Amino acid sequence: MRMSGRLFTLLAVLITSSLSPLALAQSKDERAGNCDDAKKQMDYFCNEQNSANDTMVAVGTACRNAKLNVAAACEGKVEEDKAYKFDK
Amino acid sequence: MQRHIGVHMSDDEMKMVDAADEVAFHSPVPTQMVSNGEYNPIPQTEKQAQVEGLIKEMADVQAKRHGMDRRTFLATNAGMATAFLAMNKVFGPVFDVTEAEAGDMEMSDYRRAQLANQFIFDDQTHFIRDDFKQEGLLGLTKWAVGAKVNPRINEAPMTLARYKMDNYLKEIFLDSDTKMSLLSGAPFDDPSWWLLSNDAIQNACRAVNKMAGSTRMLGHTVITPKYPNWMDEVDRGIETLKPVSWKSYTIGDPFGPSKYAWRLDDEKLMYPFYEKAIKSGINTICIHKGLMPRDYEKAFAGTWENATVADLGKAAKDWPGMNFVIYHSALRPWLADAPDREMAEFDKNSYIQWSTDLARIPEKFGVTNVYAEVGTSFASTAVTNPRFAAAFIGQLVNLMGPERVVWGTDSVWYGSPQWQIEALRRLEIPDDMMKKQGWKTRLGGANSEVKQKIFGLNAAHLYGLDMKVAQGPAFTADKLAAIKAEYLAMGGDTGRSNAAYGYVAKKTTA
Repeated sequence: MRMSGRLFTLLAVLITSSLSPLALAQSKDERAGNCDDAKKQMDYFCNEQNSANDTMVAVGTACRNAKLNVAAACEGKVEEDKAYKFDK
Repeated sequence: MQRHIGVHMSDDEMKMVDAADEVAFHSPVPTQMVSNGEYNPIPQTEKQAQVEGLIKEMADVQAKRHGMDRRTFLATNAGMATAFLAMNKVFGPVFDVTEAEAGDMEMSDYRRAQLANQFIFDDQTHFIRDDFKQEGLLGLTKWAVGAKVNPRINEAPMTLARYKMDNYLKEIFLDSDTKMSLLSGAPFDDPSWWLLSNDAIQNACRAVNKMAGSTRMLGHTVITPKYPNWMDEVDRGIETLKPVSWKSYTIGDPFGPSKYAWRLDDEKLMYPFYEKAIKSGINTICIHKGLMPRDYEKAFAGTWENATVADLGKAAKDWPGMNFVIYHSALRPWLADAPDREMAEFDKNSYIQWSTDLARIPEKFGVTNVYAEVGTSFASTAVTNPRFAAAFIGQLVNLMGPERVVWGTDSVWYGSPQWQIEALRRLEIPDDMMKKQGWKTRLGGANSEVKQKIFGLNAAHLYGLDMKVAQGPAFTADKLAAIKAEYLAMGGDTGRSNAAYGYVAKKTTA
C-alpha cells in the first residue's frame, strides 16, 4: 500500500518537530532553575574548597541536589517526584 | 601532631595548626575559630584576641581571690559573667553585666537562680529519627564548636546520638531554663535526610507530656507544597495528627537548591490550604526563610528568591486569619558568615539583609499576623558580633513590636540553648544605636516585659496556652521538674570544661 503524499508530509512534520530543540526543552525540568542556574549551583556546592567559608557545603546534601538539577535542566534526565512519606 | 580520623587537611595545612584542646584558651565565649578538621580554621581576629586576653586577665585575678585555678573559675556563673564583661569591653556595652557579678560567686549564682523559673518557650526545636544516618548533619554542631557558641558543646560525643531524643530532652529540659518546646521536622530533596515523620513528632510530644504530667512539648506537621501527595498530609494533619501549627520550607530544601521551591502568595497552590487551615482551627504556619550563603545568587541560582519574604506581604494581607511565623527572621547570612560586613551595612543604611524586609512588612501591608522567630540567627550573631545581634533584635522589636518576636534556638543542633538564653537575657540595644535609629523600645532587664514576651508570652498567645498555667507552678511541680531537681542535685549543672576539640591556627611570631 502506498502512503499518500499528504499523510507522508504530516508524519514527516510530526517526527521532525518531536526532535526539535523546542521539544527537547519541554522535556527538561527547570523547577530548580534553568541549565545555567543548575551549573552554577553545582560549581558552588560540589567545590569542597567552599566548605571553608560555608558550613552548608560541608553538610553535603546540596551537591547531590545540584547534580540532579543539572541532569534535569540540561539533559532532561528527570527523577520521579517522591511523596513525603515515611516507612512505618 | 597526630592526625585524627576524619581530618581532611593536607600535610602542609596540618603544619599550620595546633590541637585546640592543647593550646586554645578554654573560654566560656568565643575567642577563636576552631576547625573540625574538614577545613582550615580562620585565624583569630584582632577583636577575638582582645576578648581572650581580657578574659584571661580578669579570670586570673578572680580565680586567685577565690582560691581556684583559672579553668575552674571560668566554669562558674561568675566565669560566664566575666566573659560577657570582656565582650562588652571589646565590642561595646551590649550585654548587661557588672564587674561585681563577675567577681562575686554568690551574686552570679543568685542571679541564675532568680531567673530559673522564667517562662521560656522554644519555638523551634529538632531531633532526628533513630534510623537517620546522614553524618553531614553534624556540620551544624561542628560550626557551633568552631564558633564556641556553647561552652558545653563538647559534653556530648560528636556522633548523631547527640541529635536524638534522649539528648534533646537532656540539653533542652535539664541543661537549660526552657520550659516548653515546639518540635519540628524538615523535608529534603533527598528523602534519606528527612528528620522526623509527622507521626513521630506527635508521638514524641504525647510520650514526653505523659511522662511529665503536664504539657511540655507541642508539635508541628510538616507540609510539602509541590510534592505529589502534600494535600493528603494536610488532611491527615487536620483529621488525625492535630498539630498546633504547620511547618514548611518555601525554599523546598534547607540545605540545597530544590525542585520543590514555592511561594506563600501562590494563589492556586496555597490559598486552598489557607482556607482549610483556618477552617480547622490550626491557623499558624511556621516558614523557614533566610539562612543563605554569602554567594547565594550562585549557590541557589534560580531559587534563592523563595528564601526571601517577597511572597509574605500579599499572603498575610489576603489571609488575616492565618498567622505567619517567619523562622530565622529571614536573616540572610547563614551562620553569620561575615557579621562585621553586615554591621557596616546596617550602620550605613539601617538595612539587614532580609530581616529588615520582614520587619517592614506589618507597616507596608497593614498586617498584624506576621511574627519573627530568631532561631540560629540570634545564636550565630550574638557571639560573632554582639552589636549586630543587638541591631537585628532591636530592629525587629521596634519595627514589628515586641509582641511579634518569638524565641527559638534551633536546638538541639548547637547543644544546650542555655548560652543563648543567657545572651538574650543580658542583651541591650546600645544608646547610640537607639538614638541614631530613632527607636523607642529598649529590650530591658533579664525579665523585662519585652523579654518575657519574646521568651514565651508571645508563643503562649499564638498557641492559646493558659497563661495562668504558663506562669504558674506547673513547671516546677511536674515530673520533669522533679527529674531536673534530682539531676542538679547530682551535680548535672557543674563541671563545664569549656574545652573545644579540633584545630586552631598556629600563632605566628611577627
